[in-house]
Amino acid sequence: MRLRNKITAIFILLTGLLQTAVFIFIYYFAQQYTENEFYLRLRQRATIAAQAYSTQDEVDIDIYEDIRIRHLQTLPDENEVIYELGPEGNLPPSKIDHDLPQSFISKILTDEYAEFKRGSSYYTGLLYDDGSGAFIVILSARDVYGAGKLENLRNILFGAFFISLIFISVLGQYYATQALSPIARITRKVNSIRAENLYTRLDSVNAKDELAELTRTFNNMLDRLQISFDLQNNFINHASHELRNPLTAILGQTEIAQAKERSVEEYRTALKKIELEASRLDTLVNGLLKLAKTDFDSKGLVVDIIRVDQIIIEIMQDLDISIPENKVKLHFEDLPEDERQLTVSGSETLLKVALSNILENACKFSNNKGVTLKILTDDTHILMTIRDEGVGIPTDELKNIFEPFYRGSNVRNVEGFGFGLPLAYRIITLHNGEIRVSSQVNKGTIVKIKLPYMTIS
Amino acid sequence: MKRVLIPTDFSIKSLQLLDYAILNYPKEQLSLVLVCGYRIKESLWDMRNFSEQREINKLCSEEFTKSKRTFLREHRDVVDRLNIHLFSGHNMFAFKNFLKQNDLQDGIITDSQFLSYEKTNTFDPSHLMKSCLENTIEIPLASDRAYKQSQVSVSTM
Repeated sequence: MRLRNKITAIFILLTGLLQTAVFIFIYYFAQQYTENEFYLRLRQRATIAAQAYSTQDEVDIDIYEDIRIRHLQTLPDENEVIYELGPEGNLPPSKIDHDLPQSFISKILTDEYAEFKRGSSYYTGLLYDDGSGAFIVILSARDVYGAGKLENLRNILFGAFFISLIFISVLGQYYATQALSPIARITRKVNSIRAENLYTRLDSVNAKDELAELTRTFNNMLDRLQISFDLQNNFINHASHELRNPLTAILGQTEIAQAKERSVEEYRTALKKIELEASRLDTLVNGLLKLAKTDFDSKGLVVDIIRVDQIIIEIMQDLDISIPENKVKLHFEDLPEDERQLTVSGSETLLKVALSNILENACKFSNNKGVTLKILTDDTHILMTIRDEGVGIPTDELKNIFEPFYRGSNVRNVEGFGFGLPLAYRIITLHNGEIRVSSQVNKGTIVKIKLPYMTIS
Repeated sequence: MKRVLIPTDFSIKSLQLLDYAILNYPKEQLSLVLVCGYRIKESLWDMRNFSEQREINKLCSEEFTKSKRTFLREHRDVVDRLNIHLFSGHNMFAFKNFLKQNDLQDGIITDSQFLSYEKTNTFDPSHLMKSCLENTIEIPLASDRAYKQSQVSVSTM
C-alpha cells in the first residue's frame, strides 16, 4: 500500500470514528430528552386522572376531563388503569395486571412513582392517597411524535456521516498528496545524482520541519561522500607523485652510472645516492602501509589494555634518543588517583605511533622550543593537551591538515611527507577519540586529544 | 594580567577561541571574559526581573559548563579566570561602557559563520568588539559548512 493511500485511510478511519462517536452521543442525548419529556407528560396526565378519580364532586370530574381532552389532547394508544389498594396498603394479587413486571408495581409502592417502557409503549405508575384510601394510577401510551423526531434525527445524522466521509476522503487524498510531494521531489532528485554529478545538491529549505531536516541530512551525506571521493583522488595523486620522485632519482642515477665506464669511487657515490632514495622510498611505503592498516576496523586490531602515561614516558625515552635537543615538559600533576582512569583499550603500537607523531611534529616545527604535554581526566575521558611555540599552521589551512600528504604552506622546507597528523587522526578516531588542533602562524599550536578511558565494572 | 574578551554562542565549539587567546598572548597570565549579546524583552516585568546570572545559567548547557571547567584545568598555568557576561545594550556607546566597566582592551573574534546564535534572544557582539576594542585579533576559523564547501570547490575545479 502506498504511503499516500495509507495516510488517507488512517485519516478517514480516525475522522470516521470520531464522527461516529459524536453522532452516537448526540442521538443518545436526544433520545433521553424525548423519553424524559414524554414521561413528564404521562406523569401530568396520571396526576390529573388520580385527582379526577379521588374527587367526589361531579363538577370537578367534568373540569378535569375537560382539561385532559381540550388541553392535553389524547395520546396514541392511551390507556389508563386505576387499582385501589387494600386496607394494609398492598395490592391484592387478583387485581394485578400480570402483563406488567412485578418490579414496576413494587417500585410504585415503595417510591410512589415508577416509569417503564415496553416496545414503543411508555408506562408511568403513580401512588395516590387522598386520605380516604390509596390507589395506583397506571397510564400508558405510545410516543409517536417523539419516535418520528428521533427517526428524522437519525436520518440526518446518517446522511451527514456519509456526505462528510466523501469530503474527508477527497480532502485526505489531496492533503496526503500535498504533504508527500516534497518527498517525491527529493526521491526524483536523489535518483538523478551519479558519481559524475556528485556536486549536485537538493534545493535547500530554510524551514524547520522534518522534510527540511531530511533535505539537510541528504545534502550533508552528499557532502561527506564527495569529501571521501576527493580525499581518495587526492591521496592517489599525492601518493603517485611522492613515489615517483625517489624512483625517478634512482633511475636517473643508474642511467648516469651506466652511461660510460666509471671509477669505483663514482660507482660507490651513485650507489649511495640510490640507497638514500631507496630508504626514502622505504619510509614512504611503510608510512602508506601504516595508514592503510588504520583503515581496518577495530576488529582487525590487537587490543591491549594500555596506560596512557606509561606510553608517553616510553615515547619520551625514544624521543630523547631521536631528538636529544627536545624541550618537552610533561605535566603529570593532575593525574587521577584511580589508575583505571588512565587506562585505554586499544592498540599500543598504533597509539604510540599517533602520540609520537604529534610530539615529534611539535618538536620539529617549533625548532625545539618549549613543548608542554599535560594529561588530565574527566568523568569519561583522558584529555591530553600538547602545546608548542612553533611556526604554527595558517588558520585557513587547518581544515586540510588531516588529509594525507598535505603540508602546511609555511613548512615546505622542513623534511617530511605529510603523514604524521593524518595517521594520528585516524588512529585516535579508531580508538573512539577526538583530536582538535588550534594554531596560529609564528605563535604556536595547541593539539587536544580526547580518548575514552576503559570502564571496568 | 591581560584581560581578553571572546564572543560565545554557548556552544562547545565556541570555546576553541579560548585556545587562540592562549596562543596569541603567550607568557602572560590571562583573565578571559566570554561575552554574548542578549536582548532583554521589553516588558516592564522582564526588565525589572532580569538577572544576568540566571539568564547565563539558562543559556549554559551541562556540556558547555563541563568543557569550560576542563579548559580551566587544562590551562591553569596561564589562565587565572574565565567569566561569562551578557551584553544587553544596543549600540557602540553601551558597548564601550561595558568594556570600560570590565576593563577590557583586547579581544579575539572570528568569522561570523563560525558561531551560530540560535539560542533565544542572543546576538553576535563581534561587530561591536571589532569597532570598540583597541586590539582585536581576527581568527578565520571555518564553519563546518564552509569546511565542506571548500572541500567540494577544490574537487570541482
